[in-house]
Amino acid sequence: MGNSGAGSAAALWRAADAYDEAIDLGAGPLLAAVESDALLAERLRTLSRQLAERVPLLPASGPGVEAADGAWRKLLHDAIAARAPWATAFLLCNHRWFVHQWTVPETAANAARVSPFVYQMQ
Amino acid sequence: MNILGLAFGFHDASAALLRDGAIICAAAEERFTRRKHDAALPARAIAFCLAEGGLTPSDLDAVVLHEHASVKFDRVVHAALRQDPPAAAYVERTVAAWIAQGKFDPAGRVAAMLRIPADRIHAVEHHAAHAASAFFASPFHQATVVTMDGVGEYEAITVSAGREGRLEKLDAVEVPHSLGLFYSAFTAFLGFEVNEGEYKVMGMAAFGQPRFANRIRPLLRLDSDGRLMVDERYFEFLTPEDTPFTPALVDLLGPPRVPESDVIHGHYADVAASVQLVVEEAIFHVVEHAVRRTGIDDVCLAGGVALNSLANGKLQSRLRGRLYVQPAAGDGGASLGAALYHAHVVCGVPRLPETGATALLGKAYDAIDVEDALRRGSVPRVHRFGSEDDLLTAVAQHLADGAIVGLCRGRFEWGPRALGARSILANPALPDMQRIVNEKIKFREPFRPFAPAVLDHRANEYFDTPAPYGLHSPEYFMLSVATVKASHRHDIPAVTHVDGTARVQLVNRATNPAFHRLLELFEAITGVPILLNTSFNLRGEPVVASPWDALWTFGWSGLDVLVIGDVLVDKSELR
Repeated sequence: MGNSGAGSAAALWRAADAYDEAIDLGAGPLLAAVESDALLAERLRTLSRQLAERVPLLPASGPGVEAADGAWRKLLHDAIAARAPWATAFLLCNHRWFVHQWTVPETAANAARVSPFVYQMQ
Repeated sequence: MNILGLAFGFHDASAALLRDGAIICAAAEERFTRRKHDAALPARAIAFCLAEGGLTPSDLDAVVLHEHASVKFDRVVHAALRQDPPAAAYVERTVAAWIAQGKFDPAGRVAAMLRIPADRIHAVEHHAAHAASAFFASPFHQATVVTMDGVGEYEAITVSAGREGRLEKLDAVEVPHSLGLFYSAFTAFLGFEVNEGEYKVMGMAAFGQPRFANRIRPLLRLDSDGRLMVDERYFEFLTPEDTPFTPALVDLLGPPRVPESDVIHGHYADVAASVQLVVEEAIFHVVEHAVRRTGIDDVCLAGGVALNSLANGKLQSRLRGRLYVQPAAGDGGASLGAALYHAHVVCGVPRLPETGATALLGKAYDAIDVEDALRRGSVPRVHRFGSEDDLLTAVAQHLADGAIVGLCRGRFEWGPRALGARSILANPALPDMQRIVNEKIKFREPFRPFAPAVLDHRANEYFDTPAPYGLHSPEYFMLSVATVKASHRHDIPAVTHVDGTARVQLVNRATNPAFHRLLELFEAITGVPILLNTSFNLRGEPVVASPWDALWTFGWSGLDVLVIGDVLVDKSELR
């Protein structure tokens, strides 16, 4: 562990529900790489705090939340598979914020647009 | 083995289809949707590729994407953390946009759209796709492969050694040290749209003197190992809120040019000339170091910077070996590169020698499409001919008489250049033709130059251009700039830029027979084996694809004559 700032950032991702799962998937070296850069790890903590302050508390469950949680989990898995340390750490630190982003109506509406190809094929 | 390459998500979405290593077709999505630089999942380009290949999605052995989305997101986060304080708003906006646009899971979107198993979707690094698009489409068994663009996942420049079916990456330079972003920052400084106006900077450079080169040169440090470093005090590439340059650049060079202003001479032209010179020096630096490192003289280029035809022309004269530039060198070409990489590097498909000898890879429309367009446009009078030669003879006569002709025939082009399939053509000998085409046809800036298309065996009479080494030479794809011989500048004023240069297109009988024949017929009438050739579009619109696009553009522009398929429409007869 580096300084206390980096330690705080590490504590953030260790608090994530999916931390153990991420470690099982091979995230350990990626998170260690993030921790080794004390300055950026501290900024990750700052960024995560700023983002957390921007979103309300989420309902514990519901179709939107579960879908968003699934998307977050897939993205986390992809980031670990791609050996992407900053994306991995960021996702572990910002689960609630990410789920909120995914479930806000305007975002969901845009994401739900049917592609012209699907329309054409149907 | 059928492999579909896809590029989408930022700008210039495209699709390309390979069968057993042969390029079946390739097309940009914007041609079909009519949205310039369309970034969306290229559904129409995919549909075209499948139709052209006679395939259904289940026939595809692999679909290959041009970048790793997760690594790109890693760069977004890393960029935000490099700011102090961290750029929360940038992350928030980016993530919202990525969610809305489905950019976090492009493979999932493609699998869902095509209804194929997810394990058939693959991805390659963005610069590996660029490198493959150049090397595997080149005629070279081995080559030094250099890619330069704005940014891929992290990389902005790569150097590789290409040998037969392999690409070995030897070096990479990561953002923010990007030649593409450097040039784009000056594109913005000069009042043009980034990712669109870079050609205008090149055109403007001819009007100026590089008197600011000594001020700009220190902003792009060239290191002894062939790398380069951008001075970040002058630029804001990673999290641009407004402009990609900082007040420090304004202190250095004065206020930026107001967009759409008429000022093209003097100060701003000198800035354009200076940045062009500095970027050329940087390109030579990177490429020449790369050649020394690989020990291979032949060079392949891709990435948006490789569309800098001014630099390409000068680079050719500096290289001991030959130069191949991917015609769709920008991000639009990454779909082809992704497919080629997967075919040769991953699957070991043998290379084919004729790959890359033509850029006519898009959709061809048939007589029914032409008749539908004519009916939809209620065109009252058209000309039909007994043979193609009769049609081309009539077109040549119209051109000789000073008419400006829109040509929409055969498969449309791959890449940004019109090479005689979707072209606006005019008589280059008429002095006022450049102004007329700019102002009345394309509605664009009066200083923009036009390219000459010339019979390849006659080019040396008019241009100081390197002898082409074959049909893959950059001159066949309008990818390098040559000097018009002083003795002929007065013969072809409409295609001679203010500095005596021209972005030449050689036309070959075997690879572009109808356009070659048209040039022969034009020469028979005028004695000039050259036509002014510019893309068939209006300002801000994609190049036309279909007969209807061509007819619509014909109606809204000052074009005199339209050729769609084998039909000629003379606007003077429609009034």
